[in-house]
Amino acid sequence: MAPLLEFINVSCAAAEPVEGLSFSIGAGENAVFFGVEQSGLRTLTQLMLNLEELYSGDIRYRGKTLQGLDYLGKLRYKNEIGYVHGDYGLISNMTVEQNIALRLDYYSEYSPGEITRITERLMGELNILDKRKARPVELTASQIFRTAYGRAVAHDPGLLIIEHAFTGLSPLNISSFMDVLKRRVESPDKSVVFVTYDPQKFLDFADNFIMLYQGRVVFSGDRREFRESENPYLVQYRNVALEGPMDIR
Amino acid sequence: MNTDMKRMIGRVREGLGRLEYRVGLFVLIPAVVVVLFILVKLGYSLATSTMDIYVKVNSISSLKKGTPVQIKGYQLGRVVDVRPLFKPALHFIATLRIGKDIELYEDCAAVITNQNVIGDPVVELRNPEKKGAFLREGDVIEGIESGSIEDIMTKVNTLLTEVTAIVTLYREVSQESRGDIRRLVSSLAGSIQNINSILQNSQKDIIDIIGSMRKTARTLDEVSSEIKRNPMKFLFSGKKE
Amino acid sequence: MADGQNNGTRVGALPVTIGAAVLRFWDGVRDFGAFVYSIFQSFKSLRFIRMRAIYAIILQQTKYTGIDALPFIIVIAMLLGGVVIIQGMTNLPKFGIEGYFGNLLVIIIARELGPLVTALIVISRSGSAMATETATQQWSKEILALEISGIDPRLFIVIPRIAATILSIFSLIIFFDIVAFLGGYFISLTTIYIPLDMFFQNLGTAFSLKDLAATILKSLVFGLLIPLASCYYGMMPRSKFEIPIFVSRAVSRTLFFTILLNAAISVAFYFTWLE
Repeated sequence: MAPLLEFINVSCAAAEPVEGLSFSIGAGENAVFFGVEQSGLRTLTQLMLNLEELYSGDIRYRGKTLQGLDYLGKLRYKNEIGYVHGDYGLISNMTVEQNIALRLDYYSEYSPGEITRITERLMGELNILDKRKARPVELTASQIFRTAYGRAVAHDPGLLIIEHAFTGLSPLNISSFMDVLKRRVESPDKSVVFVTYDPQKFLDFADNFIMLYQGRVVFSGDRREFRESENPYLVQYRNVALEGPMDIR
Repeated sequence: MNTDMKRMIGRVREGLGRLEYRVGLFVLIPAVVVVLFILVKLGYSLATSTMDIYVKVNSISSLKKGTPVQIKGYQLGRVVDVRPLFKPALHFIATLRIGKDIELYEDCAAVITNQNVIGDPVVELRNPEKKGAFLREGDVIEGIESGSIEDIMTKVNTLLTEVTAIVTLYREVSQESRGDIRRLVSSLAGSIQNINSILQNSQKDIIDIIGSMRKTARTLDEVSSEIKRNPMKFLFSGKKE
Repeated sequence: MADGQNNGTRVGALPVTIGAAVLRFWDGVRDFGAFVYSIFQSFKSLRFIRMRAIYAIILQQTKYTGIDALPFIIVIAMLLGGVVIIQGMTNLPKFGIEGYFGNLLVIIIARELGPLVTALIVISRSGSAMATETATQQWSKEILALEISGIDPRLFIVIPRIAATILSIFSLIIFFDIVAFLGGYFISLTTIYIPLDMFFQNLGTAFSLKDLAATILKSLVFGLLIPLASCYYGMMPRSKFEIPIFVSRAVSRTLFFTILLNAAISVAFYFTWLE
């Protein structure tokens, strides 16, 4: 069976260039991409989201290439994935409930009643049911994050991409959220990709750890390897050391 | 059904129902106004072959409902309404309902005149020399009253009465000269006809009419004074010729 | 070489400046054209989407652009209708004035002032708001979030605003005209008496279907232009610093092109159509 997401020798000359990226994430597998600033994480996310179209190599989703998708093909792909980013981007003139229901309201064949049920269940799981009528301006950082997460998973995507999502949240609030995340991570056919500067947080969740530096993959391994590998890049990163193969400024 | 109810309740709860209602009114009222306007406009121009125009006049001495409206003697329509306006000074607006089949121009004039010496009033429309835009429904034109003509008519009437009186007197005086008197009467009738035809035909120049009327009146004055002075000679002078 | 360049700058400064301005203008037009094309492109996803999502935005936007502007429009229409009538009464000869009131109102209010003033009010109230909103959404990555959710921001942001603005401007113009006519009538009553039915019959005659067509066309054109230009400039800023620049640009250029298009439509309707 074709992997869920596959990068085959992908190079892209964006502001943060990447070169020769090759990896694959199977259905149900979870991966963490990490690295220092300017290591190509941004471009990698753009490529995964199909927002960056000028690249060489091939990116495949469920065995089908993303290269040269037409307008509707792109929309269909975006409907297969979910995405939470550090800025959250909640629609500020909509309530929590409307934000979570947005995509369902817009696309799905659900009836309004079903949409209300789905959003209510999600809000319940995320502990924000009491805030359903609140607009983003009335929410705390972690409530905003939970709403953004609810919006990203409302249509139950096969692939969820979470990019730098925990910045600015208190560790305790993050832990309380992790329980929610765990349920998705553990489901056998859903994959989550984390893009982060802090891979340690996802030790319990991720199957693959991939480290980028200057647009190239410098380390790739499973949980045990991530903890034990003597890869000099990884060692420098793990130890938060300024001395090492990476030039930190 | 259940979900529909829920949906409705949900929407009303969110205030969307009220919003929908307000936006609906906001959009529908102008739309209805426009549709009605189009219907009235189309219906009016299709259904009617007449149009209403207004004539502004200073007095309504001769104008009343039903007064005919003519152009060059051809009847176009009638006056359907006359009403007073009190500002800035008392004047009147007559509504003329006329056929659309004759081309009239914006600068046309409406002369309120009498179509014969008997005194039946008529509104005579006159197209301007220079043709501009067409006269349209609802336009207002100025009414010109030929009051002086009426005065002259009264004079002529008085005169004729006088003449008739004299003729009657002479009928009693001279039974033999009845034939001559008849001739005089018929010639007078001819002159009245002349006046009428002048009135009808030479509308282009009111001054001419007035002038010719005066002339006729003068001639009649002379005739009557001649008859008074020397009735026999006057009566029989024609026979000699 | 350096000398020659200097010479070139001195001698050719004006043509170069003009040429650069023309090129910039042309680039802007092309860019705007591409934006409009991308909106047409977004219609492709119309068949997948549920109208209810867009419907709610249209309702909201119509409320902001139309209903909330109504009191403003009513007061301005009343004042302008009155001013036109007062000027007419003092400057038109008394001769035949009853016949010209209707025409005067139709020519000045219905043909020109109504659509233009309404458009100006909508630009100042809603155009600026739309540009700022879009710019803020762009900056706070709401537009990106929409895009990644598979929701075409053009369809979600621009199309409902176009629909709402067309509806609002059309309704506002009609309200404006009605209020201005009534205001004009009542103000004229102080000096000259015209029976109400006669006044309206007169007005109805003077207001032709062509005037109505021009009004509808104007509301369509303004309703398209205002949200298009506002959202176009709203999507431009790449940083917070640029937001006021582009918002002000959105308002000033929309104003300019609205007046230009208003003149163009008036010329097309009332000039070349002259019999």
